[in-house]
Amino acid sequence: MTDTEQLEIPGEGLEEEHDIEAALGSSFAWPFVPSVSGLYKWQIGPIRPQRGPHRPDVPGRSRAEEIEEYGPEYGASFDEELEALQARRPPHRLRREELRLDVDGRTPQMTASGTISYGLSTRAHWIADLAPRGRSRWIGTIWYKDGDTAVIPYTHVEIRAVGSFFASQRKARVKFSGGGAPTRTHLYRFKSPYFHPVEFEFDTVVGTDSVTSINTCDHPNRPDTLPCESLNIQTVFARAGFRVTTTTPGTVPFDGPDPNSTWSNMEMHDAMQVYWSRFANKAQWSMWTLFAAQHDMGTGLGGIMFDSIGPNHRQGTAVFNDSFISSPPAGESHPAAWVARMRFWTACHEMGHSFNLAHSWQKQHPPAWGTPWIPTPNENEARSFMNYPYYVSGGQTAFFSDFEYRFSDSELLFMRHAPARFVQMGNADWFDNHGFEQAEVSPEPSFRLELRANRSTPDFEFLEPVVLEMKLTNITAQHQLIDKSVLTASDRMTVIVKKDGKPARQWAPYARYCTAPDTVALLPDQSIYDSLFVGAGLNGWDLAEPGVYNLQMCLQLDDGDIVSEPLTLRVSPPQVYDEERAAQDFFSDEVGRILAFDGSRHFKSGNRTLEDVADRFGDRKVAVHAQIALATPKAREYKLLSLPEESAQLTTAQEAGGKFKLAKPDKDSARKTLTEVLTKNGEAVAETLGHIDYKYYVDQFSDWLDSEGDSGEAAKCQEELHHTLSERHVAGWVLDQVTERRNSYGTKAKKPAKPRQHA
Amino acid sequence: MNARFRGCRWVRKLTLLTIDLQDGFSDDLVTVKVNGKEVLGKKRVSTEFQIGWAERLEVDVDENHAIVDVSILTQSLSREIEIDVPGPTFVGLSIDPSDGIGVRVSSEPFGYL
Repeated sequence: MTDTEQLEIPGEGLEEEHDIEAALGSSFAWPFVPSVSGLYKWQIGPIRPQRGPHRPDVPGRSRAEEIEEYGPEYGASFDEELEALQARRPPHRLRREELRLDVDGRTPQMTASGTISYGLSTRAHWIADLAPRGRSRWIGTIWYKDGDTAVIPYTHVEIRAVGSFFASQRKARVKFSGGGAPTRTHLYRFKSPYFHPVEFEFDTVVGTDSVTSINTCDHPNRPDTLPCESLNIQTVFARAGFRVTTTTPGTVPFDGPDPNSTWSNMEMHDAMQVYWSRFANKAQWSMWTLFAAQHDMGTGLGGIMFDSIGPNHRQGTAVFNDSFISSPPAGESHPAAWVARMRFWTACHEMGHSFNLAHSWQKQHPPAWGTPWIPTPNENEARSFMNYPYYVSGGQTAFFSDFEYRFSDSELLFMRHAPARFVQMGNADWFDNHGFEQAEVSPEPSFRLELRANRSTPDFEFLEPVVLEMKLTNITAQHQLIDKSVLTASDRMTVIVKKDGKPARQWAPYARYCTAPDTVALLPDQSIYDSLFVGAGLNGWDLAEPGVYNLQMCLQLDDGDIVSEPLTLRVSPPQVYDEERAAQDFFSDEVGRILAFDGSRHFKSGNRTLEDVADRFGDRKVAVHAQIALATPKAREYKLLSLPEESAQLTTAQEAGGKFKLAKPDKDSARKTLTEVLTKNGEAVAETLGHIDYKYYVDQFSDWLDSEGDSGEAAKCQEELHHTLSERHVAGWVLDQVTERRNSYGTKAKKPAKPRQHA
Repeated sequence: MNARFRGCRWVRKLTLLTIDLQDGFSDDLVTVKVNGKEVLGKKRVSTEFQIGWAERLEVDVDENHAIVDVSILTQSLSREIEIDVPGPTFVGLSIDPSDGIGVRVSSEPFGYL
């Protein structure tokens, strides 16, 4: 059950021309016209030239007309096109677009849809209906938008698809217009005749048979036009628009005395976790189908999409052979074919539920069941996998006499063109353990990203600011070039925070840093580190309330995205009522900013809160953070912008008469506080600050002491730092840095470079 | 009267009427009466929408027909249905968003998928 294999079905793996028509079921017409339906992509980023003739032959259109209509690069040579694209490349390099063109093949929906991704968190989705305007040209109105619709202001599309016998030469040019925005034209490259991938695993309880294929003409009650063929489940879904792969079928052993005993939904869910080789609590285009004897409900239940347990639903389905689907009607002339067809139909039906398809008569449902993606009428008479055959007028005989082994048009529209999160198995609310669905993770990444709390268990006290550590490691056998500041908060970094039972939020730092690339070579197994104060940001205090949180991080590197394993941490409840009361003032924007920027002499109210917290909760970890933030700005003169009290709003500081004034340092206070905090209880301080920040603050403080002429105390600080870090088994090269710095005090030796940049 | 003489005593012939509450229920308060007798009074009835089924009740009736009176108090819906019960009979009750309470009657058990 572990190896993925491509089944030999028509159209499987069809990135090449000769497979495409077979999979999508186009009948060959003469002259043969290559299908253009499928998935196309466009990306701002490295463009790999693919040479070859591709100028379409469009009778009756001059080059000048093409240029006027589609832009200068249309129909140009690839080099000309590449040059034009790169010249127009916007400064933002992380934009990706997908186009799903659905205009030919067996069941075209005359629809185009697209997904626009900016970075990791901005996504917009659009759908347009299409009407043909010539042999390979369609126009249409965008009737559906989802997500960050500001990035898709347009109302109309005009699409021109370039067919070819070679998939690599297919392109689609989309002109977006309307909505008051300047017209935009994109050239998308063909990627696949399928709209999405999906993987199936069929497992069978020992002693039970599975039916995953049938001969469509085995039963005489069928449409006259139905082609006679051996049809398997993979082909059904390939024709719905999915690139289907299957893992090796397996059996679910049964140690009990009766392998035919009934199954509950919970038992099947447990079996799925154990026996499904791909099981994971995350959204993935993958599902498990179990063939078993009977459900606890008895013979009245023929199959079920049982997976409505836990955060990731719709990953598991089951078909029950010892149920009514194996009982042909009285007088049935072909009972064996009837049963085989019903079992096959049931498997496709239950798997359809995993794609989030409702029953045909449930398209309009109570609001409590959720909001439909678009208003859809019930399809009580539909000859679809999602209808009950015996619910239609005339019963199952009437149903199968017209049934063509397909989903209805509205269901195909949903499966092919709805936002993927609505359709994908296991998907639910954003980041229910699957925050980085947009990440383009390399199958062979060069780096490993870790997000961790520097303590034995990731438990944080109430009020304790959550500081984590990031570690990026070269996991290849060769050295890798990397920007030294890659772990500094920037547009390349995305952190998702999700509290149990609440929607996920993207951490928004108070400042993002745009640094000039400073590339260093990272040797095999070598890592770079940085700290992350993730407790607060522009969204407020994302990690404040007691409870369990899941965090995950993604870095966008030049050769792909690197996603960390999720980190689960716990914020403890307050120990005393006073803490609860203090929280009302503490979890404020001012306090968040003071902590993020290592102190401020501007935010008076926030400083008062920190003084209060440090005073009342001196034995708690929050006091360490408060005291450092209060003392650090006192060590030096501090530039404060002073504005006249009567200054009008919405004027510049200069116009308002603002001036910078230097606030005098309070060195004695700073020295006393930082000595007390940073050198008296190194173990506790290192735990709450993390090793990186602990070393950073001690380095800053000891450097300051040295600059004040107290090299002896400066050296002592480093000695205490060395002792604490060695007790905590920190890497030797870090300890060497500490020793080097300690020995530099009182001499003119250059101190080691500071490795940290605060987020 | 569906009764017959067996030996020297009267024996009533009982027929099983199975009523399935099917689609459209969502946290509803439902009462069902059969021939004037309440056979179900239940809060929080909800359809398992994956299979289109919410609740099943089985009632013995001793007549050739039955009057089923269903009320969905939370949606202010009610309907009285007269059903022939020549033998084991299966009734499916659903809430249709436009037509109110819908009824299916079958001599075969309902199957769910």
